[in-house]
Amino acid sequence: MVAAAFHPDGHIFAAGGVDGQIKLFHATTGALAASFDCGGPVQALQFSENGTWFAAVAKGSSSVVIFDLRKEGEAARVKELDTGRRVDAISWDYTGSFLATAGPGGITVQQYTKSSKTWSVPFTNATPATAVGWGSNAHSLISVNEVGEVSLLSTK
Amino acid sequence: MEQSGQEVIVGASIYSLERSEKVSELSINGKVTDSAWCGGLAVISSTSGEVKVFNKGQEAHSLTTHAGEANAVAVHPSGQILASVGVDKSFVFYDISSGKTLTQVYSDSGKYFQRIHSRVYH
Repeated sequence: MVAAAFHPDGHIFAAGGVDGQIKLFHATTGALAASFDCGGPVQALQFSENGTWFAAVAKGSSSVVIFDLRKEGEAARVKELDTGRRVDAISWDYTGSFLATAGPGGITVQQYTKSSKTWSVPFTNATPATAVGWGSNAHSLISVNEVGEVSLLSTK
Repeated sequence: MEQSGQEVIVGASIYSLERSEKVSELSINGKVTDSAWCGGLAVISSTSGEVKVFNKGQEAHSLTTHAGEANAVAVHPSGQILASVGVDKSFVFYDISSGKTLTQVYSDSGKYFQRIHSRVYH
């Protein structure tokens, strides 16, 4: 198993495997609650603070798949975001509206607008990054490259 | 990479964003596979199977429950429980303050455990 995440309410624990399976377990008993297919070894996995979605990336893929916990099978894959470059790491901001992606081809920010139920891409760059994260006020994005150089990007 | 306030964990190093410099080098065997913050505690997992918790760069707990590589870590929203997953197809929950292993579940076994630390979830 290569990826791990807790649901923001603390009741579910998710583990992603090299077999592409994302298994959700009840955190209090360890019993399997649900299983989803990522399409390849799980590279990245994170729940949104909105409580119903999680984002997952298969190793080597340029897409991030958004899963809805309340659904099953193919219907659970509510969105596939093609970022146009390999994604190695992702990070939701604390509102669940922004999802940053990072990889050797650069960073993208994917934005979900609840009112129109649409996705847009307000920011991209071509600077290679191995990881990305949001600053505590979600007004800045931090990216790290292979040699440990940390860059701070202000977004607002 | 994980950041907490003004610090970022990159590999086995902690950097201060404010001072733009490395503030700690965390001691661990093997290569770091994942990291997480739990409040002010830094957690890293490694290919050696170790999951270590550090307080201001000093080792607080060394947890070696996994057989083989520990590949990822996650912190429970309560901040009291740490989880790790490994190449041994198990996930392990630890109590962060005591460093005690609470349970280990092999995901293929179909088995589960009795309710643990129920007070933590309230």
